[in-house]
Amino acid sequence: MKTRKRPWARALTEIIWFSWLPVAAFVLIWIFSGMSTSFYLPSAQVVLEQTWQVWFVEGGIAENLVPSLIRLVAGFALAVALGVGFGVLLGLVRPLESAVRPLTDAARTIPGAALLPIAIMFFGLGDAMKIAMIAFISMWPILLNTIEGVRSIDPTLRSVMATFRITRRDRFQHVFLPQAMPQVFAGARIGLAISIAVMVVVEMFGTPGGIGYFIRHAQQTFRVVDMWTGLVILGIFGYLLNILFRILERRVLHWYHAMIAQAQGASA
Amino acid sequence: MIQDVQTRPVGALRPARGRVRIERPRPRRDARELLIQTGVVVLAVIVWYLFTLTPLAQNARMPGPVQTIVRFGELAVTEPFWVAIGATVLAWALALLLSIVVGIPVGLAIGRSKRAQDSTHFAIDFLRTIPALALVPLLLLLMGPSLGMVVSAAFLTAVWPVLIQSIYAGRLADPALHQMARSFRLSRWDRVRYVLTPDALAFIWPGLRLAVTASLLSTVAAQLIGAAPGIGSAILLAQLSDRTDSLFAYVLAACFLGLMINALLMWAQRKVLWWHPSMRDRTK
Repeated sequence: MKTRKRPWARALTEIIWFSWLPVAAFVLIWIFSGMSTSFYLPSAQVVLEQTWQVWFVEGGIAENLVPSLIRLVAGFALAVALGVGFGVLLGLVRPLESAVRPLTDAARTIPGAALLPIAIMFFGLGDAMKIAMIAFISMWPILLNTIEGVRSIDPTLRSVMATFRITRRDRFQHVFLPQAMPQVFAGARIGLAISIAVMVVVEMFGTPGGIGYFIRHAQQTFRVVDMWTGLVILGIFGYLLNILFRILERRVLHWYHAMIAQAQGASA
Repeated sequence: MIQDVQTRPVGALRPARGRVRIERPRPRRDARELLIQTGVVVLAVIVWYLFTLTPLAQNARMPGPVQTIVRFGELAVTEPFWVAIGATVLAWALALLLSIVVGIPVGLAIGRSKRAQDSTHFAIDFLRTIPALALVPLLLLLMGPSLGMVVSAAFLTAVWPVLIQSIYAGRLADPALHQMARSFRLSRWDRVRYVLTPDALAFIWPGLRLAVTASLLSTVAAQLIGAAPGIGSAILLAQLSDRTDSLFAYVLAACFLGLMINALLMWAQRKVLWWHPSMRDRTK
């Protein structure tokens, strides 16, 4: 193979394989949306120019993106804290988990959007309602995964801990939490996607401010191009958040990935 | 642990009339557990009742459990109630079916080829992070508050987990399994039925489970945002007309619907994935 001698050529073909579809899609969207005469499907060029104008020049980021981000972080952090806290408790105390299972089943299977009017009844249309909704709906995958993670602990390890009389706090901090971590992160990744979706929905109903409100309001006042700019910003926002989450996961679960790699290497 | 496996085999393969027949383990119900669970539910209803007596709930005019159940009974004999439930179930089922029909074949095809995976990597990664519910305003402009709008929103939510898990299924399909099936000279049908499908399904199932709940959430949310017929808009209407008892009755209906779909899912999982190591513990 020629490419083996030239690593840069190989890297180049990799890059081409990874990028040809996104580039082609972008070019096609650019061309076809430019030819579009529909009022609802404006040309990509107009949308991008307007995005720059609305979100960067006129300060849309500070007005609508930052409040969304703060809400999302608050709600998601709350969801992680509640999910991991209750998850560890229910995972360790099996009878308790089985006793409250009807309630947790009902709470996690109910389509969360149905709870929105009830949340508005108690918390109003402000930030309290939005954060409560984000936290409540996105905590379930984290909770369930934490339960599974805590339970997956090796029984031998339990006996070892009992033998050495390891204190409750040390068990939690040094054994149960790290053991459950990979599962917790898998749940948190699902939870993050859900919290972004819930954020958008509750903002569409809540008080002004926020990217969901911006998109909904633009649609209701038939500012179609503005609505598209909101979608563009939301796409970038969601993607960047995901990348950030992945970096965090890689750092925290470094030991776990290393362990898996080693186990695979040993068996191969 | 090892002893357990030896004394009680979970499933045994028995050749019978040339076709493979499989013995399934049966789940055992624990009566005491059921009793405790019923007690907890009753307790929760009592707490709900006590909560409605507090000034906080009085101000919000939150209905008590009796009021809610009475209203639920009243609504359950009316036509609009069942029309709303039917519209929600229909939209949910269509979205789920569509994401299976699209997600699994496309996912498996992408998973089989390294180049296809590389090419689609960025596009899938980017598109799945966009919450489909943000597209509801756009879909409303294009389609109006219709079934098509709701199905599109729910489909765009549900297709990603199915697609991504199917890619894994295509990529990580165990070649040793296929070689074994061939060396045992299993017929084509048996190979598909007993080797290829279970292997792929074990990968696809978690994505399917996510898709089931995600599409229900999106269906109701899209109906709520777009005022399209269904439980979502019924809840919205109850709120706008200030009937908190109807509101709670419809939320209760949504809750029952979620529980029923979940029960159906668990039943299907026991039927389909009973052999998988993750299931053995539960059916013991």
